[in-house]
Amino acid sequence: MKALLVCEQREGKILDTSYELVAFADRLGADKVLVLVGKEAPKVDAKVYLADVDKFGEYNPDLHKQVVLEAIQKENPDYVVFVHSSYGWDLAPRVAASLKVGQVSEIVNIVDGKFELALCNAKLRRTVAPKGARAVLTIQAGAFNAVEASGSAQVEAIDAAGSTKLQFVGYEPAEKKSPRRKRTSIWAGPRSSSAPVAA
Amino acid sequence: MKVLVCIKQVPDMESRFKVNGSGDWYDEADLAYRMNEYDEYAVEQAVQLKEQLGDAPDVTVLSIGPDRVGDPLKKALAMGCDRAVHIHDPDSCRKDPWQIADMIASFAKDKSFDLIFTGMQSQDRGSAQVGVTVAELLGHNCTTTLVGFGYADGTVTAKRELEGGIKSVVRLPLPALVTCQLGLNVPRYPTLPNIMKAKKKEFLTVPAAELLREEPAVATEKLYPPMKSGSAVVLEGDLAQVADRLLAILKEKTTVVK
Repeated sequence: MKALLVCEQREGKILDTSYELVAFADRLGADKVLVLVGKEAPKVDAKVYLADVDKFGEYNPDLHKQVVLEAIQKENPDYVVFVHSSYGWDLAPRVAASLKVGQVSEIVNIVDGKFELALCNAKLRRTVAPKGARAVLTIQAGAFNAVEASGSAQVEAIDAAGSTKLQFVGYEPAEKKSPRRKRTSIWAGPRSSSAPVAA
Repeated sequence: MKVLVCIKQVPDMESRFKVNGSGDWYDEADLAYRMNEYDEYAVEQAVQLKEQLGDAPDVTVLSIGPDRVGDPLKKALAMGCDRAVHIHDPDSCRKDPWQIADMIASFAKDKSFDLIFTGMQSQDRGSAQVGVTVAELLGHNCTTTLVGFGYADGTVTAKRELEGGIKSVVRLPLPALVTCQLGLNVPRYPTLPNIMKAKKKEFLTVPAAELLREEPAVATEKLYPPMKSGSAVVLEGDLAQVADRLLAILKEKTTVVK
């Protein structure tokens, strides 16, 4: 069994959740190969396909999808695994649709070889199994304890052809102060687009 | 401009959920249903766009499900959508996201929708797949998790919410599909006159069998309540011992401490 782990970085820094993907693959007992659009490879003893972020963009799902598909073609993995993050839930369904395979979203555990998911605000759990030989998976951030960032990756550059109409403009930092404004009016009626915003 | 909004009816998440007799879904008896909260933001954004462009966009709202799905569709009409499409499927809870997306894309493929709004995810399944998959099947540009939306001259400017409160700004030309995050806007309550007007708006029902082309890609094996977590542990001893024990527990059971 082989898992292709789609790692994440932001502004040159590899996100810690990438090491949770490695932990998930270890729990699964799968051979692991990693792919990342970035500058540096994660610290892990495995093969890492590294696509140049200057070419493929910080966020560009159309182009990043092509990179992942290229890695899939090279490695023929059973599972393509993302973190269920703003990057993962944006990109994973595109890959699943391109491959015409099932996707299992936000896995919280592996139970008897089946993927366990939370349902209805985690008031229920269910186990699911993909029907095909290959599947796209996303794992809940924090559900699998990250392995330590150590090891020496076998880095292989990867390229892919593709086009996009999406333009990434940039990041906006998190707001440090509460965006709430001083109370200027109290609105007790129905909400509407013309209603004053409640303070 | 033609706009489509995809909504889902979900149980109130404050409900007590029980597993149904066949063990593959929750028991739907005695549950109160409402429009998926993420989808309310999608409807509101479509209606705000209609107001921004002087009523020019024609807004269709679509939902898949049994007869009760008529209720959120009527609410969306009362919020300002122009027509409703009910894809009638009494067994929609057993369709996986791939099949749901396929039905929506199958309906939309020859309708030339310029812009499609969906919620980021549903509150019951939370798979966050359907919107993006519809975009892929239709070949629309797509971005997700919107907390800001602007439109001018055929281009959507979207503000996406990322982890840690960071936001990213992207632009994408039409045709496009965007998925809406909570807080994108302030969904309006339908007024009584608009509820009355909604009764005269077009309401189309399409059998799911006319649109469904795909087999499920994922199978639910079992549904069950989560295991009850263990009882409380009382840590005793001097402060250093308690701190060490607490640290060990946090390391073992959570990802808070590494």
